[in-house]
Amino acid sequence: MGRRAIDARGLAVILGLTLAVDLVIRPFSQRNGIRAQVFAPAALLDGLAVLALTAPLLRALTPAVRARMGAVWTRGARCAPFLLLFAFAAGGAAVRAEQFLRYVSDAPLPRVAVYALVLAAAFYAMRCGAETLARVCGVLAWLFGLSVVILLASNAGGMAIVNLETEVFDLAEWALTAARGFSLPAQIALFFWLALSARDDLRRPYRRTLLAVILLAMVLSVAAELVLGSQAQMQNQTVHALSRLGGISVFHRLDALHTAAWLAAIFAKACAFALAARMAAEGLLPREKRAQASGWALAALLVGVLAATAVSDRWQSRIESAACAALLLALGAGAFAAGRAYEKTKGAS
Amino acid sequence: MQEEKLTQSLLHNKLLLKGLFGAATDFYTKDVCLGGVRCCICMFEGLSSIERLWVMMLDILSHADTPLPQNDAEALYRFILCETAIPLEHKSVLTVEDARAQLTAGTTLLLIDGVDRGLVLSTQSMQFRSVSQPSGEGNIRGSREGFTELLRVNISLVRRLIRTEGLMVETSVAGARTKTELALLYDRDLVPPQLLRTVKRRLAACSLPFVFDSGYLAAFLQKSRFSFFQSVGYTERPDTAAARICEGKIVLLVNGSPFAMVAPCFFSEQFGTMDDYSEKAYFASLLRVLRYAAFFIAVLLPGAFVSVANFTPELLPQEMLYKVASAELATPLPLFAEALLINFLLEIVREAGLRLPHPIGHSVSLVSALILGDAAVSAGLLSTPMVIVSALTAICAFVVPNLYEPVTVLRLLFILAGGLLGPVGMVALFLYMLFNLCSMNAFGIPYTAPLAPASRAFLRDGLLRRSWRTLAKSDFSIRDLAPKEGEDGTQSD
Repeated sequence: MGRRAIDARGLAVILGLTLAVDLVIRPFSQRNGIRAQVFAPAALLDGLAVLALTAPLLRALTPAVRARMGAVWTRGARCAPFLLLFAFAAGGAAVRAEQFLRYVSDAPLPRVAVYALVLAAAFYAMRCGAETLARVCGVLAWLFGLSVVILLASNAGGMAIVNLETEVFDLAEWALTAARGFSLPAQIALFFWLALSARDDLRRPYRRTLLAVILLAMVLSVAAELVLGSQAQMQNQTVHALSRLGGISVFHRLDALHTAAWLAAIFAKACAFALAARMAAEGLLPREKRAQASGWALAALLVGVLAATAVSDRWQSRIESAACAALLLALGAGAFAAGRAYEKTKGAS
Repeated sequence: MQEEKLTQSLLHNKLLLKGLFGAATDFYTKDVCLGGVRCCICMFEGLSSIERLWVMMLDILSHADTPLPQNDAEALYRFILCETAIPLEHKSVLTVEDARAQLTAGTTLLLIDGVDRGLVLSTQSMQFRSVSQPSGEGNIRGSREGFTELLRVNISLVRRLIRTEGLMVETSVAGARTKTELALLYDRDLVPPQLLRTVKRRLAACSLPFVFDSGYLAAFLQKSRFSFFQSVGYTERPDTAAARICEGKIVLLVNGSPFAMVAPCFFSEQFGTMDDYSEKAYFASLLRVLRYAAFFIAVLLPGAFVSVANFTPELLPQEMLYKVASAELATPLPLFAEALLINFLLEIVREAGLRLPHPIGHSVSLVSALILGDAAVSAGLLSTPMVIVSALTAICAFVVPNLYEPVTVLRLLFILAGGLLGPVGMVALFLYMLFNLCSMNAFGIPYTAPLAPASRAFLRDGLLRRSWRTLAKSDFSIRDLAPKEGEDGTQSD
């Protein structure tokens, strides 16, 4: 299965959905008593920091540079670290999905069954390709967006300004919160890896997507505190608690609909990483074995699931951030070198 | 043998034809003498009209001002071909295969001793069903005509609606044993050339022993990878076929089938009808949303009900929960098995209703309503909530009849997923269905266009329908849905 071109809008949708689902499935897990007045601007600062850190790479990855890098960076040993990161991230998504299910269900399925379902979906996604993934994420993004709108609308009646915990704004507290909460999610590396196949301009879709996700994080944190007050900081799954509370007219158990939409989104997140892992495995394998790339990628995913179960959520985030940062630096160096080579060739011709 | 050419010997040609058709009792031959030259008339009774033939022959004989050439076979041939008003096919028969094709199409062959070609007289008089209302695709406004089994009639029905020079009709043959005639209809100015080439190539590569319906060819026109859905559609209505041609699509007519195949066909089109364009835009949009809702209810409701009742009963309102629980306790089967059984029975009832002769068809509804519906519930064999859910599902499935097959299979799968794995199973299967849908390309165009990837056409004439003032501002063709240049689809279809 060859590498297929994907448009920037599709990539942005994949990025947006996979980031947004972390806000609802694993929300504010770093909060530990951080009020919205601090959390929201900290989230904004962290998001802007991610934008700023990735801006040089984004600028360097012109369509011509990506065309050059795509031929080089998607073949050979360079694919190995990407395979490891994406397999680990996919495993993390599976683990997170299982934890979320265990939290929300009275009679959850056995852990192995959930992992098997996630891996089965991921394997099928690997076979379908990047363009299909973009379309699926497009549909799921609509469902997710609808879920968020309904969530906010259903809780509008329960929101009260007096619930907001406001204190004198402390710059040091804000900066410390931002520093502690900063992470480079693996989705960023996924975006740039898949972008090597894209041929149109990435900058605007990427920035818009990140800003939308930042806005969503701020809105959800404020909305949670407006409804739950100080209790919002104590919840394991704050957004899920909101979904349990909200109601529209006689419909009170809308959390089932929200959970279904969020589950579909986190499955899609696992599928996105699985697809990228398959592409990396394909690049790593010799030509005669490339047809087996899906099998090898699935094996890597299995290892990723096992590794993710062995570490806590916080450490998982740290490992992903570190790996993502390293890979982005490597991509940046590659883009810089490819850019200079392109300029030389252009100058020569 | 069939490529063997006709000779100048009448006897030899007659023997060739008799050898081809053997002792077929409907194969009629008659020796006649025209202008002193021995001739032979060959036809199939039932396909050709003898009365029409003799009228034509009398026309030849009654020309007093231009007498028949005498004792000159070639002159006689040219005379009949060029100087009479007899309706002849434009091409004469040169080979035995040509003769077979023309005779089985209902024409009469006139063989002349001394001429190695046969004249083809248009004496077709086949019995066929007249143009009537189509069996499905009912509508409130618009045409009531439906296709028939005769290819030429169907072509004429479309030609009547598209009276521009752009409409092209190309015929070919399929089926080694039946040599069924096919016709490709398209607008040469609107159809994407790549699409036309692809369809022709795949039709040429199709190797079937017989073709009795357009559906036989579907498997050859589509990508071989499994999917619940088809990237070709069917219609019994000439106006629908004409509308599709005006969008740049290709319509395939098959002799003997009143169902025209449309290529490509997209997912969103299954939810539209011709009535949508006759109604007011807001109402048409409402109906489309209703059809989408009906589709998802038909697919998801039984599985969701089983999943919720078994795994997450706290989601049900209290009063409903008591009723469901008491109904489940009163019946011998678990809810999951009940769902499968009722859906299975519904399919049996539907199949029986379809195959029964009309005079006793009403018995099906009697049996299913009284025995399955009422008596089974009263006896406690089936629970009322499950019967209600299944009935609602069945009605919703009939709202989108084009998708009945995938809806039925997916519904059963969702029941299995919901009953065995609960909400997670439902979500996983929903994702699988979504991936399956989104991975399909209909001849290079995403099958889910314009829903995914999302485009303006989604709100223009996809989920909703804008008013005709808006639609008329810009023409729509399937080229608008094709991926931008430089992008590959997932499956190059």
